[in-house]
Amino acid sequence: MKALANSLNWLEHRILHLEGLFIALAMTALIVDLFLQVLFRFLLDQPLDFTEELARILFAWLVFVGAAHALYHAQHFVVDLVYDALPPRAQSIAGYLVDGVVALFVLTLAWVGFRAVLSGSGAILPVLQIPASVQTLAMPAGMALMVFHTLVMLFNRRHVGDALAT
Amino acid sequence: LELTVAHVNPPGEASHEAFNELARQLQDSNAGIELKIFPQGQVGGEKDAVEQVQIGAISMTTVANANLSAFAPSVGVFDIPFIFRDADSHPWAVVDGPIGDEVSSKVEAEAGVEVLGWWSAGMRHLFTREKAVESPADLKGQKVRVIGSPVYIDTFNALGAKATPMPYGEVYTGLATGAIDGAENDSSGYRNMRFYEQAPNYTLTGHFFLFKPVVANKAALEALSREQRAEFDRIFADVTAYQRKLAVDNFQQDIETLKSQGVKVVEPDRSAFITAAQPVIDQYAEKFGTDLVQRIIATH
Amino acid sequence: MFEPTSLVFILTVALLLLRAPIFVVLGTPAIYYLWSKGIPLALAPQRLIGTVNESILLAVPMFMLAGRLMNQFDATTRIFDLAQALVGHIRGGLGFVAVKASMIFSAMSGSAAADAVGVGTITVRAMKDRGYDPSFAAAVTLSSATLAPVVPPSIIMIIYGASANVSIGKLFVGGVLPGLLMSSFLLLTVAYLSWRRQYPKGEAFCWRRLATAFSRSLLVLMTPIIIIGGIFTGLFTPTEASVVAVVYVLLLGLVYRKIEWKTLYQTLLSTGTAVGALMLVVSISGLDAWVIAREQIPQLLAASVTELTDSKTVVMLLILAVVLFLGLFMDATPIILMLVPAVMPLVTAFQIDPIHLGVLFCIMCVVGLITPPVGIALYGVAMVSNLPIERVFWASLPFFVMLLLSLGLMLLVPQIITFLPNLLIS
Ligand code: NA
Ligand code: NA
Repeated sequence: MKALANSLNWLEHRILHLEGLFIALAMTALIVDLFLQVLFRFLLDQPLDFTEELARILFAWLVFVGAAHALYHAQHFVVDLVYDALPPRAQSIAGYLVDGVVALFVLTLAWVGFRAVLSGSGAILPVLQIPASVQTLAMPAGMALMVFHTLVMLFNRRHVGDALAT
Repeated sequence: LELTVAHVNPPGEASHEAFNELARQLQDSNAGIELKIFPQGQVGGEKDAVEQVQIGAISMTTVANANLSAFAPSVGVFDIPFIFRDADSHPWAVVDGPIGDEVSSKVEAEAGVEVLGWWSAGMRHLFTREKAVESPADLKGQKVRVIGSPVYIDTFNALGAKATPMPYGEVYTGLATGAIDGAENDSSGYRNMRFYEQAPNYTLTGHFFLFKPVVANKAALEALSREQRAEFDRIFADVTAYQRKLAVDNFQQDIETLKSQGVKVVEPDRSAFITAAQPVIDQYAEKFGTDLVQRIIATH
Repeated sequence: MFEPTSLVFILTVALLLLRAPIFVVLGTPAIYYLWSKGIPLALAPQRLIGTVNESILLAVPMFMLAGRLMNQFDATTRIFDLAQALVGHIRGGLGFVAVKASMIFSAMSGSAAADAVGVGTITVRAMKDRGYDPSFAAAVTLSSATLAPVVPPSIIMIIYGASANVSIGKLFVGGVLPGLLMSSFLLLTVAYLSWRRQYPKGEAFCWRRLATAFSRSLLVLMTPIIIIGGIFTGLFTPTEASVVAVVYVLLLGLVYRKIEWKTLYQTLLSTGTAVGALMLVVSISGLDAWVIAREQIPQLLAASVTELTDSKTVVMLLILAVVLFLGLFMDATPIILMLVPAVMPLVTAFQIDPIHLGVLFCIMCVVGLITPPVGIALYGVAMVSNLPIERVFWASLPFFVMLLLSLGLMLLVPQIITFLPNLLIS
């Protein structure tokens, strides 16, 4: 059990590191892409056609991978007024209850999301001429990462919404 | 039995009125079908609506041909510039005949939705801020906002403009500040979005004829009994004729309204524009099959 | 016994109070709705992606990043030293600066969310550093973010103008005096609260200090000038202005020799993570909006309004009340798209001035962006100020009341809205 927990934590740290790189790269790419749009359209007088579509793809990935990263760092919005006033025992019960609902919710979205990508609308992004699933995959991918983070939290007896011990 | 419709058109627009008419006639008939309508993009944009129809969350929608082509590339053949001579007979001769049937069945194969009929958003025309465009020469170097679709971009570049993709919501401000010099749309979009306040020159280039095919979820239609389906099809055919006529009438009315608002409406020599766009016409004819394109052009 | 719907409602509230993430609280009932109505769950991914597949939202990460970079490069310190030198001797001086900063920012952004995260990132820290209560700083910023879509350019007004078939130019011009009125009301609130709570007063005014601070902040002061100038000369769109701001701030970082790769990486990462948390709520509220549209709730509300009165002012008040109510749960755009067609017959029947109603309607939509449980500006400010949403909201209440008062005034004195458009646009 302990060995499993250790290897899970090791894996989570690798994944967190990759998420971080991915987010920073997506932000950088977004800046470059949008700035090229301005530069080419208005300064070089040669509008680019792909920048807007690319920006929306990057944004979708940024949102859902960013949201997964935020789950680990307990950065999602919560109302903790009532929870904080509860006695420790009730907090623990509430904590597991909420963990369960969160796990079920993100698992459902990951599931229906992957199924939607697989069955596919067949849509093609008009300018880049690549499948729209390049963009729509972002949602289930982010949700799958959330499923993983939630499960590791359960293993570590840390509730969703508990600040990280530093 | 309840069927649902989602579309992005505002009141007064031909498709909006036609769906209301469809709901009314179904109500009055003995088909036992209730039509619930979600207009003006309440449940999402046109591509969202197509996806929701594919999923079965909505029963049907009407979608600009250019947007449908993201799901069903075959319909792109209708978006070749200047392929249609007019807005009230040539398009209908094409889609109501064998070509329409061919393309409809390709749509069903490619996008998994049924084409109920072909509606109209009329011809698309050009509007500019400062200089009224009479010929392609006037368009030289002007930044014209187009939707982010390759054929739109290629066409306007070929006409000498600088095709500039930009989100629809920013076009009004873009025209006001001069970020763009012009844009293109059908008369109802031009009037509804009040673009004429900032770009009061409307040139009737008619560079695209914009079909608004009505597509439906197959399972939703299969839920109708044979009698219901027959009644539905009869009423739908009726409404299609109404929609097409309304699109033409609306255009005349829009032009009157726009003129009374001080818009300069220019009727240019279309052939000069066609000549300039010829390389694009040829390029896309190659892509969709020169045979098919020839048949479309030869249809009377 | 409970029927299933009310049971789900109770469970949802329970979840909220037991510290479930807001996105789960918003999403769970919508999923239940789809399931119970037999609507394919595949709709959920469609709406989640479809809602954030919107170019205008791109301004949010960019302005958020620009604000964080300005903090990191001490550009913020320079500009607030200037502000301190200018108004520091007045009690609550920085509160005034925050309102004015939002006013300036309003002219660059069309969206309250972008304003809230852009200005908020800067003002909240600056005020905290200078001894203000952080939740006061957040509240000032949040309430002044409502100016963004009132002062042109405004995306909300464009959508309203297109839906209600009224002149967008007139709506833009009609927003100018209300913007000034609202900012004066907010300034009054700042003055009153600062006096009541005895907020800090800086050193006495000194020309020399002002001159030094001015020269040190000159390059930073150029930011709004470049951006507003760029928008109004058509060099770039309001959304693109956000990336121009980022690039300009990066250049400032080079000039001030403050760029370090490691902290830059951290800033990119923390901004991206914040964007994820913020936009996930937006994304899921798009699914809720679908459900609200499917049940035609706005239309039902509008229909019940008509039966209550025959006074024009009361009808307008009721319409605005409906907007305020829907604004609790929905973003501005879907409210406009659903409610405007439903109230248009009333405008004709009661001979309401469409510009008067339009501007009021848009302002009320914006108020919805700062109210819980769905309020993108509220969450944005909570995010950048690192405060719980409930604290930010409670601290904002006095400002919120003042905003409603200013709306009441504009309702009773239509000229505040209609004077300029009638004067300038025939
Ligand atoms: Na603004
Ligand atoms: Na709200």
